[in-house]
Amino acid sequence: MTNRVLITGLGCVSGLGRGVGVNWERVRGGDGAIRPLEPPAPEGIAAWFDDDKAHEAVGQSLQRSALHRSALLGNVDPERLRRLGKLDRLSSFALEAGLEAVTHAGLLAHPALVQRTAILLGCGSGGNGTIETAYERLFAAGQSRVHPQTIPSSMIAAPAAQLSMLLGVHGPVLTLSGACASSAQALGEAMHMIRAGRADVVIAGGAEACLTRGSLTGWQSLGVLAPDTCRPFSRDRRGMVLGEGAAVLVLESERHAQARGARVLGELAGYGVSSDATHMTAPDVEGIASAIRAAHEDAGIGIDTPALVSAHGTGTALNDPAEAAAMHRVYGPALAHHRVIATKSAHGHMIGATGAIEFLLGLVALSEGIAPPVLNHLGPDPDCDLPLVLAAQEFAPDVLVSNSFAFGGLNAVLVGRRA
Amino acid sequence: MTNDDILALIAQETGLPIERLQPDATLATLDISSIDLVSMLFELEDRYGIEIQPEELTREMTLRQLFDRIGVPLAS
Repeated sequence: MTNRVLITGLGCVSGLGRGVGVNWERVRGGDGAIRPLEPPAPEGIAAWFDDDKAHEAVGQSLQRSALHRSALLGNVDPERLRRLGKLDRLSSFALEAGLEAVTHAGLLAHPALVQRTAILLGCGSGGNGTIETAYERLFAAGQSRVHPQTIPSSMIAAPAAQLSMLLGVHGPVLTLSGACASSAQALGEAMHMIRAGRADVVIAGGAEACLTRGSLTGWQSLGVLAPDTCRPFSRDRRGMVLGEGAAVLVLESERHAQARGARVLGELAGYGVSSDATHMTAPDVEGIASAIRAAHEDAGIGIDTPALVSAHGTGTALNDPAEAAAMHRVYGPALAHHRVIATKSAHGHMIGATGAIEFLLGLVALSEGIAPPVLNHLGPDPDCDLPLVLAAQEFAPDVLVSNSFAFGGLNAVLVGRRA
Repeated sequence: MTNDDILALIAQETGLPIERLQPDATLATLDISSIDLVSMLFELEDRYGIEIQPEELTREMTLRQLFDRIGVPLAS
């Protein structure tokens, strides 16, 4: 008997807000989070997370974070929190989403967390805010010392390690970095950990906090950021828009979930991964297509089975037509059975967290039987001819396909199945 | 710089609730880790220019003694 990998908990935080409920409601309702940044943040637009300190937090760090205003923290032993040290915004997001997912799964303080549970998080970069604050002191302000917790707070492994301390997880705690595919890779590899019997439960997903002055300026210099908004697959699209946040899912072996009577939200049924090995930033149609094919094969789900396809859909000139061409190459006429959504138009490109939040929202869409709209669409682009969902519509297939493609030519595609 | 400023700084750097920061509590009974201690000293120097070397602090030191060393003796 194969050990199916079930999904039993969801958690997320993004520019759309805190928690799966508000994120889904806003995505379904076409209420996107992309808006101008506010001073002292640099000029620009982004889907930034709004709390009472959000505009100050952009470009700063090492403050007691948004996490400390989370209602979920009432469930956590305060002594555990103390051990985490200073939290970069990156960690706050990961902990918030992780806590929500584990609570949702009914696993908070559950004995299963101690052994046979793993954590696998994807992050594109580490704690940008912490690093930039330290560099600003050294290089701009001419000071000779930086905060003693600069290194532990900014390391890319910090969010996963801190989540293990918060939850009391003693199994493998891993961080995976694959740029914009990081959290899709994390979910896929987590699925394999369970299939291989290395863990019964994996808390998997990703986080990113890249709306800092240095990081944002780097993205601006790359010339891929839109000045207006994110318009996936649209004519006159002008680029991507950055977001921030985290998404975490609880994956569980079928045996384990059944034994404890867990509520099942869906299944992570397939994972296809490929590397273009061609160019750092330009996508490759065959690389993308081979990852989509591999994910279907891994799941044992034919390409003609109707699916909700959550596209990578960044809204850049190069990504969207390459992704559309890859879908045509894989699906051919069967593409007409599918519907394509692109939720970056609502929550922005969350880099290391984006694959996880897109899979998560796609899974909720499957269970609700509603495909959420692609926002900001101005009209068709003949190079992106796809069955796009432009207004929320009833669509209730059994299958979700979630695409993630990253700089470095790293492609990761997840296939989910409705519960 | 007041007692309250320093209490808030210690609470922030150690993650301890302010109500636990009683004058006769020692660094040992508060279970303040070495990295939290170093962070606290960093912030004291950064914000108020007060230089204290980590080796000046012992585990047996009370908060009252620490406040004396900082130069803002606790009122009570």
